[in-house]
Amino acid sequence: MFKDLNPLLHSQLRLAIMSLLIGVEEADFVYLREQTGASAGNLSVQIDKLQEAGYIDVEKTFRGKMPRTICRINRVGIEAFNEYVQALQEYLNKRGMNK
Amino acid sequence: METKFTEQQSLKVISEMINRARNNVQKGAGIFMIFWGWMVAIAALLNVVLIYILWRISVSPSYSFHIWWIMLPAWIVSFILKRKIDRSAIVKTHIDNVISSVWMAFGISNVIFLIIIFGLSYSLQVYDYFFYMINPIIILLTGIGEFVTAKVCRFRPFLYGAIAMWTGSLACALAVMLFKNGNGVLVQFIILAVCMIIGFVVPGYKLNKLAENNHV
Repeated sequence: MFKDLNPLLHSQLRLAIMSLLIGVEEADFVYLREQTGASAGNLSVQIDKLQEAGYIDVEKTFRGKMPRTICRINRVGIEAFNEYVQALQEYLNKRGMNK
Repeated sequence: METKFTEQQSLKVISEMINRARNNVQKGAGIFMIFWGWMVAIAALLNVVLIYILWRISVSPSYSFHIWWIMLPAWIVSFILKRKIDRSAIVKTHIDNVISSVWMAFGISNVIFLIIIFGLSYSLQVYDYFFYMINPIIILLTGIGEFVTAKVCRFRPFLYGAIAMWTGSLACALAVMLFKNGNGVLVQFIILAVCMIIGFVVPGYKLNKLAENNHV
């Protein structure tokens, strides 16, 4: 049975954030912005959504006087990401068979 | 960027972002290799000069080994530098952690090895044989650290560096066999300096160049 793609992850920017975070221990907001090319406002909104879903942990701190946001993917996030990739594979396999 | 996108695009985003995170090399990543490479190479060459001078003025050349105390402030500088870089880093990868752990293990192993060598040599009152072991073993351990770093980073110049270290380690043993009357240790220090420049300084600069290109 084909699983539906998780709508929270099936969004370009949120998926990009999760894909970056899955490969690193932790990443600064600046790094995520550089790698995704997204605007600060949009990135901030999507990070909040991922945090509300419990997929990532966000730590707000300071470097000198500058505020700093550090993001880390957590166990729930890793599981959700794995399930998403699995569902994506199933979907693509099914499409391949139907062709 | 918040629009519906296809499954194929989704796969593309995942692979592209995972690759970006994997290929991440921070600016100035080679600084520690360059710093330690020059520090050890200069200390080794100064040791050679000091041995020569002490011989000429008929003072025991073993006093020249005190030059290595310079490594203590070097560790402090390195530690401060590491903390500063870690604080300003905008990303911390699993690879960074593995590399830090490998070189920390290298540092601890070196200290334990030196305690063993000096402990045994002073308790057995046998100096030459033990002291001839210091350079080859430390270069050998450096080769292990650099080999693991090369494999984890997938950075070929580190692999050549590891090969240079292992070759240097063998050459140090050979130097003792070929050069008698204490000249072997002199040659060992020259080999150590060459190994540090080929194995640490050169790959360090190459890594910095790669990081510069990545961030253009």
